[in-house]
Amino acid sequence: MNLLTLSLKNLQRRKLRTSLSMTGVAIATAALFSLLSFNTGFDRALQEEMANSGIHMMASTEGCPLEAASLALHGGEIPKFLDVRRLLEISDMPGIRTAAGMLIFSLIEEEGKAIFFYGVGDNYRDLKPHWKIRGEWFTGPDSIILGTEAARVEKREVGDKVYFPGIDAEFTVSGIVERTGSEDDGFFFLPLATAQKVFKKQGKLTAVGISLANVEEFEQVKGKIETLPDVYVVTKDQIMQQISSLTGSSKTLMAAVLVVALVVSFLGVINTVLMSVFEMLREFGYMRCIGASPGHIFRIVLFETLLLCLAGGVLGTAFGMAFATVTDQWLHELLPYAPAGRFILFDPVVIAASILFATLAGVIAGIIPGLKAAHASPMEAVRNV
Amino acid sequence: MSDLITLNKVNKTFRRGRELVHALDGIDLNIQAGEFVAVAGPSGSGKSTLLNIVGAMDQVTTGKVTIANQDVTALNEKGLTLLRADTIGFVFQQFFLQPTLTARENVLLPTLFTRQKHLESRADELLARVGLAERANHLPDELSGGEMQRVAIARALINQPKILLADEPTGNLDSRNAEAIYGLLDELHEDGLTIIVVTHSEELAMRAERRIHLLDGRISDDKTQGKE
Repeated sequence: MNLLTLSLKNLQRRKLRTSLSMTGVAIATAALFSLLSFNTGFDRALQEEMANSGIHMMASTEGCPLEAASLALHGGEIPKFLDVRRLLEISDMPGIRTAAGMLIFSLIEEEGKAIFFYGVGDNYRDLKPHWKIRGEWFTGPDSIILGTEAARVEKREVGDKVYFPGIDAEFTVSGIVERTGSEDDGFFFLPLATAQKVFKKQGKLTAVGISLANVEEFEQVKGKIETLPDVYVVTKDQIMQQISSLTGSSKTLMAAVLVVALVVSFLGVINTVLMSVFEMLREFGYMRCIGASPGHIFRIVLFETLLLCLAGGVLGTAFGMAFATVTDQWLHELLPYAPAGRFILFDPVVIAASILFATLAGVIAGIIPGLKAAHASPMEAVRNV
Repeated sequence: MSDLITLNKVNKTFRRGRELVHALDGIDLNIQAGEFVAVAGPSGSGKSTLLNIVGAMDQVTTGKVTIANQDVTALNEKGLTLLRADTIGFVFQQFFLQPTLTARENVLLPTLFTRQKHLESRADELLARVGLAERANHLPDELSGGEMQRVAIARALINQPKILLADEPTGNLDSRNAEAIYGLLDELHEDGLTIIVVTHSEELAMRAERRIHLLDGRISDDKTQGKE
């Protein structure tokens, strides 16, 4: 037996109180783990999504990066349109690998849900090299390609017909894009000319997605494109920055909730241990009689809080990992823009940091009760209750 | 025999509200090694204060206390802790057993705080000596009051102290269990241990070889007595 075992056994004396405090620490640690994972996971997912998009910059009519970001990754409409001639001019510029025109429209279904149509040309495939299409690319003007989720929701397979009452048009599914983990999964892709006709925007584009032959010529090409009338260029970095700032307030809110949870659980631990210290003052007094120094008593109490918080930290991290999928889903729904893919990944650094933080909090929480207990005089043992 | 404990003109005063209480008033006392001393007297006579001072738990207001050739009044906190750990064993009316430790672990508790380690076999011997060899792995709530006090006595002896201080050791026990404790104290005395017992129990006081009677913080009677 040693002081650590004695502390552990002391904790077992008040099982309910210990369990409640440990649960408090576990909840706070789970929140901490989730937030830390989210912070690293979100940026990683965003970078992956941007890399997968294959777009180095986007050209659209003058507008703000927010709209461009939304268009690039989330789907959305803007009321201004580029003339299709701009696409041809950009395509002819040196240094351009691909310039793909897009016409984006949304349609509100009867249930009030928006579905997004992407009118795209054949060279759009060059911007999506990772796409795996079950079936074929567009086979004619009335063909449609569905994202995996779109196909699931519409319950359509390759070769099926799909009718949209809002535009009174029917298409044949020529292909289904296998799950990409990005927003593409929920989109409906039409041939560009078809989309322009259906949405009555002949000769118009929402944006041009641009991939460069050589990224080192980035500034040079950007400058050239910006000389075109009514063309505004938004870079991939600007889009990422915009998305990050969009989620910034959500992150701040979550951090504030986390701080409250941490403070409450921290105070809970101090309260629990302090209560047990008050209850055990006479016993500590007796321990002083049989040779315990103030340092021994301090360590007994400190180990108690340490064990409590360590157990809570391990439990909370395990809890955070076990519920990662649920947390991921919740975050995807909560955030104004959420890139595809999981945010909560089991990063050893985040796991270690969460447990370490809980343990460190335990050490700090143990100081006040520990000092109180260490001041117990041997006379406490004989004091009348 | 040499003096193991010496109190020289010891005064202990403390404030209770506005009142100044003279708990001990000019006590001179010598206790030799191997003596079995009972300290008796009415409530408030200073018995417990005397025990606290002899146990190096409390400091005197004036006077000098020597225990095992150490001037207690000159010792710092560390010195007092070491003196208590190495020289004195304590038994109280409340047993102060740790409820989540077995009898054996409770007996070994003081070894957590001292330099004496690996005393497991001595703990077993002591438990056998107090008649609890079979109960070594039982938790306190599985023991009777008498058994708990016997565990407490075994614990007080684990570090081989020179002095055993007992404050009302049979105060919470019925007569049958109290008798077992008396017998145990007798045996320890026969082995040469110095025992000082504060008690209201006339029966226990009568078994000691020396009986000190306190009244209003002073020794009103100090006599050596034969066993019944």
